[in-house]
Amino acid sequence: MLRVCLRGANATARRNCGRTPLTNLQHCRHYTAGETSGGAAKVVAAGLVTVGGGIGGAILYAKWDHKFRAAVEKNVPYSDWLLGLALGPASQDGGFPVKTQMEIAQPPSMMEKQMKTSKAKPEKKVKEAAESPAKETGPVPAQPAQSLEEASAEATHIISAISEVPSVPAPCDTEAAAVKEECKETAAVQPDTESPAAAEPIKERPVEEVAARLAQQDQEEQDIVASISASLEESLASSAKATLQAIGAQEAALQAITRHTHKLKEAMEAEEKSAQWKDLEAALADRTGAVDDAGAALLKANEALDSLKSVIDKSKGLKASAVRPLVLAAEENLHNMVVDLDKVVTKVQSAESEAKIVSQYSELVNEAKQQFQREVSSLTPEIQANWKGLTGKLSVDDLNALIAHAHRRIDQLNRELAEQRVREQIHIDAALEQQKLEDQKALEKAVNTSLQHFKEEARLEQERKLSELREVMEAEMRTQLRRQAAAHTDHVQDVLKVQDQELRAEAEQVLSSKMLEQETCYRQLSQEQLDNFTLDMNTAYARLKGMEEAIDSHVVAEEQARKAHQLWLSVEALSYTLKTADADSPTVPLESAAQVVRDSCGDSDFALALASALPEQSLQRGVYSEASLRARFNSLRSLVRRVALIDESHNSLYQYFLSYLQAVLLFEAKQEAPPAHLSSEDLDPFKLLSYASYCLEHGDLELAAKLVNQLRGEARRVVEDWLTEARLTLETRQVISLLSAYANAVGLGTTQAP
Amino acid sequence: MLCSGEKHVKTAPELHLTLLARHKLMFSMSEKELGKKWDRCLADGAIKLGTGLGLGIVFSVLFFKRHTWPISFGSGAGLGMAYANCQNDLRSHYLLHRSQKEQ
Repeated sequence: MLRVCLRGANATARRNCGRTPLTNLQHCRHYTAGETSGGAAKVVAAGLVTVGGGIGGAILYAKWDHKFRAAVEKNVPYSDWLLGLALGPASQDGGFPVKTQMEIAQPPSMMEKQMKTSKAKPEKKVKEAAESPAKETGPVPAQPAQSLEEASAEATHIISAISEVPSVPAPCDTEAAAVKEECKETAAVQPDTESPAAAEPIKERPVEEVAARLAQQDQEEQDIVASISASLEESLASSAKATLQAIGAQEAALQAITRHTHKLKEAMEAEEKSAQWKDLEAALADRTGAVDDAGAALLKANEALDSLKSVIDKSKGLKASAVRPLVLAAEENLHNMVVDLDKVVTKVQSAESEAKIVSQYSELVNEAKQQFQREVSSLTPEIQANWKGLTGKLSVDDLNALIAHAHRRIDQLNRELAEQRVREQIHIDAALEQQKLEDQKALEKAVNTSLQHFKEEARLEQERKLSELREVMEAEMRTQLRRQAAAHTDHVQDVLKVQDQELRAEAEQVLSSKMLEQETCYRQLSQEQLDNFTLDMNTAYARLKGMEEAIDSHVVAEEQARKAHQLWLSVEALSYTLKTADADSPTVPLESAAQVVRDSCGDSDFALALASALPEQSLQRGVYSEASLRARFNSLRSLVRRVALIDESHNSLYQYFLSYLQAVLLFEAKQEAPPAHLSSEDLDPFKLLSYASYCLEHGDLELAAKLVNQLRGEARRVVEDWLTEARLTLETRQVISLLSAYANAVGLGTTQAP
Repeated sequence: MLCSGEKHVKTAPELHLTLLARHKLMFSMSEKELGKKWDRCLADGAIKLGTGLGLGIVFSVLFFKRHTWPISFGSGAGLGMAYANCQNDLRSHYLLHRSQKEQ
């Protein structure tokens, strides 16, 4: 678009060419810029609105839908910051539901557990309240169930109190479930105690408290048991005594009755005698007395039994579990006593009935006898009653009268017998009826008593069975508890073992580390000591060695010094030999001196090298001194001047003549100081000669040789030998100066310090 | 003046050589060479001149009827030869000799 505008602008510019195309362009640009700016602003504004709307919409939706928010936060970077700014931090509703559920699940179980413990508490409280004699709770049949619940609650309470492990969710749930059931059961059994239980603070009691409570309860139980047993025993004893007494009395009565009956029988069968009658009367009196005694004793026994029963009932009402066997035994005893008493009473009653029959019979017989007596007496008034002994005393008439009476009696009796026979049936029926009634009564009574006895027995049996079952259950529970205890002890043992192992390992580790430390310490110390000792030894040894070395070095140094002195002396000798040169002749050959120097060098390579660096010619032939060289040079100078022009190319005779001419005509300074740097001008032979003679005059042979070395051509050939000599001298002098310097240095070094 | 030590035991020819070398060394003076050369030159010149003269004279007397030209010729030749010889002698160092060249 811009290009189009520009093209348009260009076109206008071309059209308006010459006029101010630049301004036009600028105008156009303004226009185009304005146009484009208008369009661009619109586009930008539209874009911004869209984006803003999108973002706002997304934020709103995220506020409403958390999943969307989470998705956006996950996928778009920095959106969580933006959303946090706009909406605040993400709420945790959908965040972690599982955890909160779990968390929520935990407290209820804990609450329930605590509720269960609190329920067990009120149970205990109730039990304690019931132990007080003022309160009697629950009927007896509900008591075994309650006691079962108590036992189970007790056990769970003990278990929960002893195992004070914080509840883990999974077992907690099952425990909670089990606890819930128990709670429900206990709640069902004791609805009246729930309200006080809810009001109590729910907390788990510590083990010691529980143990104390248990101990207290045991103590109380034991006290109760003791008291009950004492009372039971007392009452049992009293009742037993009474019962025995009663039984004894009854037996006595029975015996008296039987005796009486027997006596009566005897009296009836035998003849009546006063002694017998007396015995009989006595027996009767005995019997009545005995019966009375028996009756009284029975009453007493019944009283005692009743009291025992009341005591038993009372003790049953106390609901102490340990009392039950005692109670049971007491009840059994009571039952046995009652049974015995009843038996004896029935015996006595049967005996009494027998006695009654016998007495009736005896009465009848007596009556008959009396009637007969009366009849006989009416017939024979003079005959006494005891007619059995009168067989010899009766007359015939009496006998006939007696026989007639007897016949009459017999007839009467026959008649009565016939009558009786006729009325036999009726009598028998009546008697049977009577007997039936009596039998019925007796049967009823017997049935009642036996029913009572059986009931009692059944109840006792039931009680016994119950107690047995309870014992069995107790035993089972005990075994289970024992098993659990055993498991617990095993577990505790295992844990202890593991802990022991761990602790042992730890302790051993600590011990070993400590031991290691100590050992390392000790080793360090010993090593230190050793090191110190070795150090000392080493230092001492080093010092000794040092001293020895010092001494040796002293010796060596002295040797060296001596050698150095020798060297110096030899070098001095050598340098002195240099001075032996005359003006013309060279020095003495330096061979011997050099040899001496070489000998006195010793093992100094430097000196040896130097000594062997002496040029051969100087050794064989000797060297010229400086003065001779100077003199020679002076003689050479004129020659060199003369052949200055001669070189390779210019060496004809004519050149010779010219150079001779030059030498004659040219004047140079005799001596001229040579410059520091030689330029090309200075390489002129004449100049060089003047420089060289200056140098020679000033003793600088080296520079003179250097300058002379610059000569070229024939001049050079002429001075060649001089140069060689100069070189030799210089070499020798250099070597000797080096040697002397070295010898001086060595000597100085050795003399000053080793 | 033998070198001491085992290293420097020399045989007879060596000894001879060293004596010569020493002699050479002792007495080699390069500056005297020119003088020697001039001496030779002059001597040679003189001889050649004389010989030339003489021969010239002889020849002039004998063959050339006492003309003076053979004398001057002879002396000139002699002088010339002497000049050439002198020059050659003086140049001899700068010229490579055939033997040196061949080497």
